[in-house]
Amino acid sequence: MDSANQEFLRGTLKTIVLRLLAQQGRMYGYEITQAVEERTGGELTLTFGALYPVLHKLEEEGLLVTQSQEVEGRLRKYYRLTVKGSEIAARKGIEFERFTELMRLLIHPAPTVTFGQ
Amino acid sequence: MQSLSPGQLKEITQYIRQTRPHPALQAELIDHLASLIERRMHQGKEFRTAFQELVPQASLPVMQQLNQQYNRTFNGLRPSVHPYNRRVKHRLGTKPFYYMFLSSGLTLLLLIVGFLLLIGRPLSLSDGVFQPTWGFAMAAVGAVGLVRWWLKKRLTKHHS
Repeated sequence: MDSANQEFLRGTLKTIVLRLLAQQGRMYGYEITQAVEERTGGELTLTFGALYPVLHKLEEEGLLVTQSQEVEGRLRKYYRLTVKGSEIAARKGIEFERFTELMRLLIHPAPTVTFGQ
Repeated sequence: MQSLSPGQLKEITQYIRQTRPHPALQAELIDHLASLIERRMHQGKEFRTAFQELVPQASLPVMQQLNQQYNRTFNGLRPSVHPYNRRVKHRLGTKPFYYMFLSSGLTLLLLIVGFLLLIGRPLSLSDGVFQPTWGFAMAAVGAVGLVRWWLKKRLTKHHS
């Protein structure tokens, strides 16, 4: 199931990041990976190799802004949603819920549904 | 959570730098690895053990793969690099030598023209003197143009 999860994660990473930031306000990379792991009971794990290119891409697209801060002698980069990012995060959430609903219909169709007629 | 000592943080920083990550990622990768190690130390592990356990997650092949993925994401174009990692950039608008050469050349040209107009004609210089002076003036103008072209080419090459 792990490889299947990773495959699904790749396609939904932007939505996950945007939704987490919409809920938490501001987060840094490690915090995001921990939030994903904790909320899914360790079933989903985000590697930094997958996370940081997405974060930087979202920043470039104007959906996130960053704030760097020195913490414990090292630089920490916090991410926060822009106004446009908040709008996209809300929209992505709705779109994803609709998508999972449709997937459920495809995987578990109602007994009355007949195909190809 | 247990914090890392400056020496331990330095070790992590040196390790990450050795793996040559993309400059835009370096600071975040150091913080990420440091946070992972701190978490394990909080769970009761020694720094050395935690470090050895986590190093494979940030090994050289992993970093190379990350760099490739990063470059693919941005089509080879770098996003803004944090000043922490950025080397000092040359300011494109500042060209002191260019303007110095240009101004010197123009001054020389004015002096030559002044010499020809004010001194040359009233003294009715002979063709033997007048022609070489004009020749020198034309050569000076050519030299100014040549230096200007060379500087422009050099600056364009430097900033590309």
